[in-house]
Amino acid sequence: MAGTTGGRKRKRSGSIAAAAAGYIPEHLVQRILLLLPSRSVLRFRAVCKAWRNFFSDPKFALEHHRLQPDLPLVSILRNDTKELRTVDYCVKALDLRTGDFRYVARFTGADTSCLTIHGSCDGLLLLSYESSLYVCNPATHQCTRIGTPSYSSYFVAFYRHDSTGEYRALLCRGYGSDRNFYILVAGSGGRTIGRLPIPSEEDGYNFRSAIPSGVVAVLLRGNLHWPPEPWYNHRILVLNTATEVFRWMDPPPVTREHMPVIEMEGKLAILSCGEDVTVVELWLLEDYEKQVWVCKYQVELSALDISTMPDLHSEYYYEGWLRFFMSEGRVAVVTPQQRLLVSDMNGNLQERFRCYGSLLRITQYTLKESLVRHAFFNNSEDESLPIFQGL
Amino acid sequence: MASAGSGDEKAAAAAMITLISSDNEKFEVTEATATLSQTIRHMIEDGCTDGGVPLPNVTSKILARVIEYCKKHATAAAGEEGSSSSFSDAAFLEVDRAFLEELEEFDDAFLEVDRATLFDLILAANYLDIKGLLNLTCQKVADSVKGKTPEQIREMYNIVNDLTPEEEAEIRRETQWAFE
Repeated sequence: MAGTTGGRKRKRSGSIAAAAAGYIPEHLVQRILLLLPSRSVLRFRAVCKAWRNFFSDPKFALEHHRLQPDLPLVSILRNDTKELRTVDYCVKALDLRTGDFRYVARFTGADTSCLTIHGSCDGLLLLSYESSLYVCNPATHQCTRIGTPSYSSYFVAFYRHDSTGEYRALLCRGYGSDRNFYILVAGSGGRTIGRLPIPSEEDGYNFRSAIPSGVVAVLLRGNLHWPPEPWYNHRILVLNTATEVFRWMDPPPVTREHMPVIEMEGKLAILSCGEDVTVVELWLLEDYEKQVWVCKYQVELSALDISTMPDLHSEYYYEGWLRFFMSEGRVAVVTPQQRLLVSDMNGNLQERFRCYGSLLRITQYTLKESLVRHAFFNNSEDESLPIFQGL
Repeated sequence: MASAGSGDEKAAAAAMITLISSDNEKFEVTEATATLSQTIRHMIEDGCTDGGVPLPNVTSKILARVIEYCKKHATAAAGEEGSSSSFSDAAFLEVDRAFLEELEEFDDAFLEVDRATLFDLILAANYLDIKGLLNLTCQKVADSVKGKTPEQIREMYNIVNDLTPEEEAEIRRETQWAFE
């Protein structure tokens, strides 16, 4: 074994000797090209045929996607527009490790409430604009309408269905006992492909009344996981996307009013905090099968001097859980003064961002950029949304 | 070899290895520093490092820089092993954080070299199989070109544009915004 390794290394010596002439072997050039940001990749397809072919290879897109960081998204209403009644709504990805902000989407228009993010999966975002749902890829600026949910529907989850490779929006409609679930599929022209059977009567009752809109589900191991909520006894609701069967899972041994579910290090994690966001915790599901929860981080943010004075006029006061996020060994917190603070895991302030705008929100969604091509983006040029303005 | 056991580890850590550059300069380094290179690690495991390790593809100038990197990061690796299972321990976190920051600063300063040197470092890191150094140097090159235009890239790296005007126009049309 060691012998063959040695032989392989010696073969490369010819390349090394050529280094003085600026020659880099192809596999190293490819390694470097994989580290380029998406925008550069799209531009450098115009360098030469070899680069275009390399960047167009589906294997490149998959590997490039794998290398991208999974960045938390924040949204902000910029208020530097001169015209009244005009809004400038931006979604940015925040790299807590480097402190970089990247634009993900930007929309200017008459009203902000008409554009909402509902989900994020494999570098794709599910958005609603006016009454329709759209899937877009911020890395390629592609966008397609996947349909208009029927009246009184609300959105439940956005995920990849593994056996078909379809990207599906799960919705719920109807009232009382007529309530049921249905699916819209990217690329099938908004065709409703199926109704999910309602969970068993006992659990079904809870479920039907319990998934509030705006609660983020996390897709892991082909299962969607909803945060523990008081409505269903703080258990985690799980949907197996292959069998389309619901079940329950035990939460970490801590009870808070809101406990967002996120994915961290390829595992299910739950964030929790008290009313005033002075201590934040991250619980990690160390063993998925045995449901072993471990409190991986407990961070006291007292050093950040976050004002805990309740701003009773702000709905945000009631949404403490919406004000922080953990990623890359850092904690990001939005203060009532609309500042974004980043601390390390000891609660020491690392960075302080001033946000020029209002309604700064941590969306609870993350985005892992992807240049993977999807057929459903090809036939929809007439349905693009103005969500990448000036980007 | 694998059965040597942990009892010998302390002795092994103190063992010195001699690296010999292409221009015949000798460098004495600890085994802990040298084994950041998988290539050298394999040589040590095979017991063929007596009398020094000749590295005919690495000049003394580049080897000196590579050793500088390995010394710094070998200390980091040792520190990490000691604290791996104590994430919730605040004292360890504090030490980790301070050390990681120092390491980041070191890396930034380390990369302040001209392009030819950077490429020589990439080739050396590849030949010696030092993953961290290879990632670091490749990322530096990617960062240095990411804002360039296709024309600038061709000029910098002597690349001939063999796309037809139609093909190039098509690429630009597809994602015009990426060229702005």
